[in-house]
Amino acid sequence: MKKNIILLLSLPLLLNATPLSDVIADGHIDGEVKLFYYHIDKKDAPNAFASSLGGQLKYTTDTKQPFFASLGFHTSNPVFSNKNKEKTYLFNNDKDASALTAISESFIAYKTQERVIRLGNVLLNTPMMNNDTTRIVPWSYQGFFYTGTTLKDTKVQLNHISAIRSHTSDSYTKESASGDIGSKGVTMLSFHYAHPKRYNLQAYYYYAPDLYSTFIAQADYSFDLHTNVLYCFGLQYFKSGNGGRYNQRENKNGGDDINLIALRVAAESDTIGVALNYSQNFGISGMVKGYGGLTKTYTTSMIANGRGNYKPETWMLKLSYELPLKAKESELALWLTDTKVHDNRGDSFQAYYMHYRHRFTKELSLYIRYEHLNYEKVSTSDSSYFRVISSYEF
Amino acid sequence: MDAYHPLGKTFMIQKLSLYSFLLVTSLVSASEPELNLDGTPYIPPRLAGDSLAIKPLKKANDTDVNSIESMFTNGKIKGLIRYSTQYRDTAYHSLQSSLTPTANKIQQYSAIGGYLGYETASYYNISLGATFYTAQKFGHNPDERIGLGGLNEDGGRANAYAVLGESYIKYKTQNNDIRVGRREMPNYRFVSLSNIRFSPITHQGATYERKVSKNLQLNFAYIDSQKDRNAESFINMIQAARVQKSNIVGSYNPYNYDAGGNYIGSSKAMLMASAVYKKDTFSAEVWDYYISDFVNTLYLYGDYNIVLSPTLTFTTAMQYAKQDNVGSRVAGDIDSWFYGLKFQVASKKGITLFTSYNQVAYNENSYDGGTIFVRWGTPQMFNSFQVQDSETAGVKSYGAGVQFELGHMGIVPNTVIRFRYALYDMPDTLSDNFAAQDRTEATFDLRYSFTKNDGFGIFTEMQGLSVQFRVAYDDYKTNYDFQSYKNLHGYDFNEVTSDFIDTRLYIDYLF
Repeated sequence: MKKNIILLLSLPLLLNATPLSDVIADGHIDGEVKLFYYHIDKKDAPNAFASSLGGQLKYTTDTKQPFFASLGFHTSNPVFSNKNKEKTYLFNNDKDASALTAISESFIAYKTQERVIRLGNVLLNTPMMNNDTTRIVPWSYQGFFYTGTTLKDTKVQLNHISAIRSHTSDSYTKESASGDIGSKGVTMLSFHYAHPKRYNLQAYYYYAPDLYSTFIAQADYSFDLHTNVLYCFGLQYFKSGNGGRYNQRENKNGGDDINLIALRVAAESDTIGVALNYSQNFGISGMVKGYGGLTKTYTTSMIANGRGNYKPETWMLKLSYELPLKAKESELALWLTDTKVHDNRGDSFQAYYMHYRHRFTKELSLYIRYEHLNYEKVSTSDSSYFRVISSYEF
Repeated sequence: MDAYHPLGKTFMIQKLSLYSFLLVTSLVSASEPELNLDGTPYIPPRLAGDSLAIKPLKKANDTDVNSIESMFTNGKIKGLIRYSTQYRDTAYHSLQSSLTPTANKIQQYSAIGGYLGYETASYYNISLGATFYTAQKFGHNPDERIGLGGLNEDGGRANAYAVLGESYIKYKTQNNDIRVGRREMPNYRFVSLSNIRFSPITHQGATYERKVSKNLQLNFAYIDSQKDRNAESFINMIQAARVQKSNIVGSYNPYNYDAGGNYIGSSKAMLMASAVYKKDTFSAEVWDYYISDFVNTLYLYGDYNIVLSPTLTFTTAMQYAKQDNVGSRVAGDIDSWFYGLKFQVASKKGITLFTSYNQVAYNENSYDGGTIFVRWGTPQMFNSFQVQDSETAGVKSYGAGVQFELGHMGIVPNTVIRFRYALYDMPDTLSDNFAAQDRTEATFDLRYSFTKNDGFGIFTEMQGLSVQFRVAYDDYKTNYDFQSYKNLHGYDFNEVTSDFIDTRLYIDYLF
């Protein structure tokens, strides 16, 4: 933050011509207002529910300039009655689940036609470090971030993260979702090749010497045999190792024994989508949240997923139907999950998930989600999760 | 114990003589510039209120738009990047010669941040607004030097903070303004911003402003809570008044207070009603603030301008307030008042001279001897200076000051400076239960704008970059018979304040 502001105030000197007033005055604002209701119903454990009103406000200076800066706040405020609201992860769990307001973005950036360097606090969208958009306040990351597109159709990223803010905190600390990242932080190098029509190849390497390091590869291929049907095949591979002093091998969010392969086969038309996803983690480390956010595997539902620890093997069938309504989007979905663990310390489960997502306009949307999980072990409570999210973006 | 201030009085007399000389000199040589350099009319400085400007420069679009989409896309932003630091070095006077002189107490903060806000355009006269405020540690902020309230100080540490200070819905027509939610309330006198650290006070509730005529406005409010300057959450209006159990006089319910003496009883809101009448050279205001089971505050204010010559305006102002306990008296008995008088001469050359007087009731049968509750905003006393607020029991304060708009005068471009001096004569006889040391405060303020030559004051809101530097020297009288006072009242203290210097710097970029 300190560095950001100093550099922000130094912009006129760096530019040597563009006054600060012009740089700032020609900026733009992004905002969102969100109303979120979340109910967690557990068969043999305390229930929880809460409503939140919040959103985000973000200001970015003129991005046509080589130097620009951005400042964004997210906030989530409890409204109406609630119970055990800390379990909803909507609020500030560092401070008794009180209202959460955080600086989610504050960075300065330098860009050329094919390169962008950012320094400060940013939102990320990588497989094991991302913002996690399932609440109001996202995760965000502090450090140095480089993105280059000098190679045709290829994006290269080099990031070094020195601090992380979770989605239930307003402070940037060394604590990632799966443990302390230590003074050496996390360094990520990635390549993303996107063929204009068919191929999508991605590779990521997260180097966290005090925690654990992870290699990720993903290949997606799509083609259309018929005019209105798109077929997709995908392959994912996650492998971790090099456990450091803060590594916890059996941690469900991440450790040095992740060994997961995932496959995806899908067909999508204008109205119907069918996807069959499979994953098996041959390691005992989980990867639910990775270093921060939610790890992006094919077998991901609202709650149920195949990213857990103790060697889960997961099948997930995703069905979706676009209702013939005169709306921007009006989707019904049904997802079925079956997870078997191959280590008796884990817990197998079956789940079904439904959602209805309706976008009234480009700005206004309604999203209703429900999921029920049945666990095989008696010691784990069967659970239901219900969310209603209305959002207005501008 | 008699008041004894040879240095203070001499100093004040010297200052007044100097200011008078300067004023007369300037008037004689005046060439009657009545416009600022940018062609805007010259307006003499306002009379009272030490508070940095905070209102948005870019007003939201008052013209109704015709859809919700355009309501959001045609709104206006307000933003401030601020660096602020404050340093206070307090020296203590030891009461026992055998003791090693007490080390000075240093308090400080250094922070960077500001605010970012957005207000939509109006749709059917309705608009929405939200503002985030933040202060981040920047530089040296040792935990043992907190207490100034610049950064958040929860847990006895200097903490950064970010808070949603404004989120409201507004309905506004030509003569009606209704707002519900949390927001800055800059214009309600006792309820105001007190924006003299990093972020302003904001309040939560509902307000209604009605323009009855061109000259008369009525204001009504229901205010249920307040966010203090460095806080991340809102507290009820009794807590906001900073009631302390140890200051209570008369009967009260002790279960309303925690072990530290802070109020933990049921939340109480404030009801406010006022009438403000302004016509040409005259204004009169009546305000009432009612917090059930706690206190009612009646506040009267009036001022009158006399144009002495084309370049010279004389203004006189008076203020009076009365506070009384109401209902079940959660803070015991309250029966106090204060009043004030102020005289100001403003020359269109860019020099303003003032002198003012305040007196607060001394009543040992009232909370804290009659100290006025003022912590809902900027203290309104004319002699509320940089550190001293002239609100404590029995104080009689005498103030004087002069402001030079150096840019307007053509001496130093883009610059305004101000000197002030006040003497605070406290109740200080041996028999006074609520005795306090007499003290003086001398202040110097400087404001420099990178965008305007003139037409602004120390606290005027200005777009672009500006710098404000403030310093105050407070000198406390220490030659009392403290031992006799301790023996008589059973108190135990080994040191008292001797003097301190309070220095503040604000570098603001407002957009």
